[in-house]
Amino acid sequence: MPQYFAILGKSDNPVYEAEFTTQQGQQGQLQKGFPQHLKELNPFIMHASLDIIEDLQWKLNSNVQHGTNNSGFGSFLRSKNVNVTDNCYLGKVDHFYGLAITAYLTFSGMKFVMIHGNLDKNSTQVDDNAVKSFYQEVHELYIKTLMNPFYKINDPITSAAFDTRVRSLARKYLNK
Amino acid sequence: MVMEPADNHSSFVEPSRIRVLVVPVGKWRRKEFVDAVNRLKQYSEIRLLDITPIDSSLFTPQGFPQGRLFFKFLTVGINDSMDLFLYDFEPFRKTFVVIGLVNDDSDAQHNIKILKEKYATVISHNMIYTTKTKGSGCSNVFYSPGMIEGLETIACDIGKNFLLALNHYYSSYKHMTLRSPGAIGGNSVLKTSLTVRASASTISFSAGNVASKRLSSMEVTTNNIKRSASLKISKTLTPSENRNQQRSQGRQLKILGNFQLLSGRYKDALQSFTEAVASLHKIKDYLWLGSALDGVAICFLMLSYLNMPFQIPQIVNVLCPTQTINGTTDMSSPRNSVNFTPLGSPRASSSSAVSMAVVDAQNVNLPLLVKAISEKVLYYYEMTLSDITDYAPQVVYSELLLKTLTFMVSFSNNTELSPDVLKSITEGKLPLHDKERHASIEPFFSKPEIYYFANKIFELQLKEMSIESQTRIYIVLAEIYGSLGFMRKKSFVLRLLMVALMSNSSQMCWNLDYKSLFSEILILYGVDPYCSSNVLPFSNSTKPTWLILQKRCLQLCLTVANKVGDNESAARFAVLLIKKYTHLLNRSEQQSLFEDFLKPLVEGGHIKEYMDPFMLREIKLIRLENGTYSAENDGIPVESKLTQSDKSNAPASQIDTHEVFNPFKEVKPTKDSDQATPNEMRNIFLEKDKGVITCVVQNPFKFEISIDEVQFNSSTLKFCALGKNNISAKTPFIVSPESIRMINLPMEIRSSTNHKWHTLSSLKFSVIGLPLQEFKIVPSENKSQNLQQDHKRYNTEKIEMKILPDQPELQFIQTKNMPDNSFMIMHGTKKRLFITFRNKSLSCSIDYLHFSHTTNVEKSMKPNYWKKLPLDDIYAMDKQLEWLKNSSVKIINAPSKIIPNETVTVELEVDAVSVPFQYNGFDLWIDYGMISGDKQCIYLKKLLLPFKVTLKRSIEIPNVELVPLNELPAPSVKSVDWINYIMEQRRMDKAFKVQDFILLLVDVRNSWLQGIIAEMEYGDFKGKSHLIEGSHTTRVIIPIKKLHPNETQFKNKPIPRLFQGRQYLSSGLNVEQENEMREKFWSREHVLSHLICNWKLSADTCINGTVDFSQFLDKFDSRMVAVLYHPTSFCRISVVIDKNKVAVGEQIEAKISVTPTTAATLDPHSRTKTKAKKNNVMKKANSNDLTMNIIIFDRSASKVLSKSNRRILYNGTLTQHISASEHTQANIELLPIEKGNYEITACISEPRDDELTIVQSQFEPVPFIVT
Repeated sequence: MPQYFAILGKSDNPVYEAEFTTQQGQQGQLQKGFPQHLKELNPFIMHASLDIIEDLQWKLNSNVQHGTNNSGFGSFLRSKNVNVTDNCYLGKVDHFYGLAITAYLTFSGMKFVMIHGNLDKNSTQVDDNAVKSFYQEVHELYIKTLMNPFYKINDPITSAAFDTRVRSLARKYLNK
Repeated sequence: MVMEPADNHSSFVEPSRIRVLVVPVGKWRRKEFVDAVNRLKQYSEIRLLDITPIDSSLFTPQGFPQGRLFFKFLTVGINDSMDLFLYDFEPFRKTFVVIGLVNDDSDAQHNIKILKEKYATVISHNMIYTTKTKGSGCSNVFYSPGMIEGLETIACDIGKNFLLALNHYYSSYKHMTLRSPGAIGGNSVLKTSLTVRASASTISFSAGNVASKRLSSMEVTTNNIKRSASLKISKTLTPSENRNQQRSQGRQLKILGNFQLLSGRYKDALQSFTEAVASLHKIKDYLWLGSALDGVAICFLMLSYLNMPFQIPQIVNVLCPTQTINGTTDMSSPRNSVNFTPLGSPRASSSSAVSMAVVDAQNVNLPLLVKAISEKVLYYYEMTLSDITDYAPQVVYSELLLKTLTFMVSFSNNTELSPDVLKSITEGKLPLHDKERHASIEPFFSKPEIYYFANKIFELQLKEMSIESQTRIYIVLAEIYGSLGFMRKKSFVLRLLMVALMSNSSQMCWNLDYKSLFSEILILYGVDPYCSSNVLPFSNSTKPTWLILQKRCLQLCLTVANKVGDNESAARFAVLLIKKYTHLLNRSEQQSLFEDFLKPLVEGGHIKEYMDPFMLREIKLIRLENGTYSAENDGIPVESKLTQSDKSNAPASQIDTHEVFNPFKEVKPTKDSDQATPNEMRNIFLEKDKGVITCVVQNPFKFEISIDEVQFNSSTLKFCALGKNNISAKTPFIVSPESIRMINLPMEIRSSTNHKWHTLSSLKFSVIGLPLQEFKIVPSENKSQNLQQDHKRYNTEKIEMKILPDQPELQFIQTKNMPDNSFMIMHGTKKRLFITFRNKSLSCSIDYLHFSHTTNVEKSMKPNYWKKLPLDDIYAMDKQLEWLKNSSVKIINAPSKIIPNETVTVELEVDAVSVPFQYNGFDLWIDYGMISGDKQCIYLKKLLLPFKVTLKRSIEIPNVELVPLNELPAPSVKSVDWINYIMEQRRMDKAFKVQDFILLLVDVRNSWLQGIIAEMEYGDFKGKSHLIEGSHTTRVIIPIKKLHPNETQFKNKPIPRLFQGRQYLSSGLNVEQENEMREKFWSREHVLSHLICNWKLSADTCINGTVDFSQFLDKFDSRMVAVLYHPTSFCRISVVIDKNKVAVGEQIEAKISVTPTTAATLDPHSRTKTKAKKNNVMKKANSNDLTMNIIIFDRSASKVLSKSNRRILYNGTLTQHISASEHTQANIELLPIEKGNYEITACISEPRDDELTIVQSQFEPVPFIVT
């Protein structure tokens, strides 16, 4: 199950992009990524889903009792009463044919977006808890990057360490 | 494929509109036709009230006068065969009416006939003549001159014709068995294929999930009803017959409903649809049932639009249970009710629906009902998918989705079903996205709800649909997203559309309206497609964007534009892509971009400009030497302004006080010539010159570019042109990818820029087949951060060049009788040279000529030779240099002008009188030039003629001596010239004293091979000529008159300086030494000024010369100076004896008197002038230490007799103390005791350092002879 993950800035500029593939050697699987046409299309799908994310970003949470995990959309609220990192995760925000898109918003408005692909033709399964943990840890890495005095916000992240860590997180949570 | 304009695509009430095709007849311009159609479009809504009644109970407008006819005017024909299978099922898809717009006077009947032949399937044919006012009385031919008046009437009449035709058309359907599209079209009809519906429920939190839940709950509801309904029917009819009959009846009712909808009779249509629903539902003909339900919903909306009351039929209420308005409190938040109420309690709502038989439309939330009906229809369509023939085609399914979406979006600005909304629904317009709308209004359908509904589209396999349908779906979807404010979604859908268009293999015809799609999608992705004139590469733009997206999007647009043949857009995109996204394109992408797009577009003339401004990086101009130039600067003259030259002539001769003397500095007309730096000199050309231009060109791209032609810009072309040679013939020049290369081209200088500088800042290139384009010289990028709009990205450079007019050329031809310009000259002689020149030019005359020369002596001098030299030496040197400069070469007849091709001979005199012995040649410089045509300036060139001289020595003066003359020589040797001279002087001068003269002994040597006759002169003395043999020396005696110190005052005259301006020349001498030097200097000068020696060869008297003594005479020492002067004395000493001739033993009495001179003490002039010396003398005079000594000489032995000797006895003292200021007289008696020749004299001495020093002596000793 490949994923395409990106961190996007406020003017829709990619700060970090990565494609995660299923690891080799596990259960005899080869490394499987997105097919070529999807590789081309993925940034466009992600870009299009930003509309939905921005729509959800400022929505009042009218059904708090459902919790962030139970509602598909309209669940994001910056509230002091809610556990802060909980409502950063927007869950599945969009889908396009068989692809599901999940999103996560940082407090500075950076968007972590991921396209979950599927290997077979079946629809994508998204393990919300794992994806959320992944996002939270990447968020932490991102904040660490921000603390680098040489890093300017909205600049592309070129640090190899960041990349390695994000990929290991992806292995840990997404492609078990 | 022909694409229609994007408007009016998917109105929810589309089935109520009559498709009218408008075709041009005659010769129309496109714009005029479009205008006419637009005018016609104003009357697309016709009230039935205005239409004349017809004889048809079903369709007469009288039956429902409130009703409307809606025309949908089309100008693009729709392929009938494509949708043919749908005409039974959805008859509104058919084009019913055709209108021919005629703008000529062709026959109406004939035209109608042609129309009928061409559009055979159309049921109503009409003509509108826009030029004629009147014509045949046919019912379907109308006249509206200029399409201004009577259009409404015409529209009504067309409506009437349509209704008549419809009546006829329907009658043919009456007894037909209506078949489903799948049954008609067979396999060619695309079945709706849902990709994810089966698994939609597994997607977490998706709307699909919600929808499917909703549907499944409805299924439960309807199943209950069906069961009860079917039970009733099965009791009365046999199953198969009953079913067939009911099916055909239901289908007939549905199609009738459709026709009634078209004819504006909405109430009847509602009735027909309702009945159809009822009967179709019973037999589970889901496809037709869905369509009939859809018709019901449309009728609701149309009736609401007409503001007519109506009731919701029971069957609808049962199938789609909705909440009534009365009693509901939370209608302000309809979203919630939609989301949760029908889902949450399906049983409750169904039970409430059952209880309500017929609901008045006022009490129903109509939008929600319509949406519920649509969802129901979708559900029914999905039910059909398992059927072999009666399945819903994908076109039908997708259009239902779309029109429901447009319906939902129509409410985005409104909370209720207002007339505005209804109007927009009937017109098929979508509201514009309004950013201000946030939160204040909660619309019927929330954005997410609409969005997730819209996502259903992507559950269909759109790829398999026809390209027209795909286009329609994508465009409508894009509009919907745009209306919702989801601009990124919109751009995404547009991109999908582009991909669809690109992958479509068939040839497409492009409607102009679609061009806007390009700009729309590009702007949405942040690419400004029209900024090609001022494109900055990405690095300069400050705002970060998703460049990959932009690049891919542009590539896509480019491909599509190319495919549909929109070359203009393709050109723009290709240029934009290569300009702005060069860095993102890899080699193969760039190469294919160039080969596939840029090259054909350039060839087609669609790209007019080269993409990169950094084309020309540098220009160098090099002058080719095409001749032999003897002078400097390769024959390029120095230019100087004439106006300036007048002024600067004066300062040029004036010596700059800060400048050290430079004797080789040629005085030039102006100083301009000095200031020309080598850099400036480089780009100076002469008319008719040849040169090379080197351009450095850059190719930043990853493909090769070719330069087909290079040309100067128009302002430069006046002056020079590119020539042709082997290199320039090798066009095109290929610049390999990402490289810089140099191109050398020959250049021909055509005409002169005169004294102006011409600025070369650009060159024209024809790159990759483009027409010639001007490129500025761009040495570097402008990297300043605050890049303004008006600032260029690059820094430009200019090259200054000057082309001087054709110049004359002075050519040296020969020197008369002198090969190689080298000759011998005897020192002291002069020689004349005759030099022949020619003006080589055939067109230009030499207007200015100036000769100057430099000898090797001057050249070998160091500039600061005068430092550390005493003043007298400096004078000697300067004098010589000055002479060399002024007199060594003289131009006897200098021409002032030489006309073209004229030959002139210049006479020169070379003087070797005063040249030093190291002299071996001189350079003759000829500055010449012409005055420019406008008299503004003068062009100067130089010609250098070196002459080699071998100096041969002639008369030399190895030694000079000065000897005082004390007594007259014997007159017997009167033949000797100097004795003769002195005798002469003596005879003439009463006060002659022999002591007034001294003798100058000059050794004259003849270094030449042959004898030389030399004659000496000194003042008025003219010596006789001496013949001196070769290599012999002769001593010549010259009498010189002594100088009187009071007359000359040499000590007070400073040594002159020939060149002023040498500051701080210090001899380092004290006053006394300086005076001494002056005295020596002036004494020598005095002698030199009188001394003349002329000579000639004894063999050849033609060769004659003079001797420059200053070269030979050493500096005078103090003894020589002393000899030259009369003595100065402070007292007069006289010795008188009584007898001059005595015998031995005879006594002689001598009287010696010393008298102080008045001159020494009293002359004030001399006192001041020679103060030091005088003081000294006075001191001596006042002292009493002076002694007077009497001295007796033996003349024959020239010895002083000692004080006690045996030759002369004396009585008295020989030494006596005297006082200087007093007259002293002493007497002495002498008694010679030996024969001889004696003389007696006296001198005054003073003791100094224990020695007696003679202060003054008597100059004329008194002789006496003892016999």
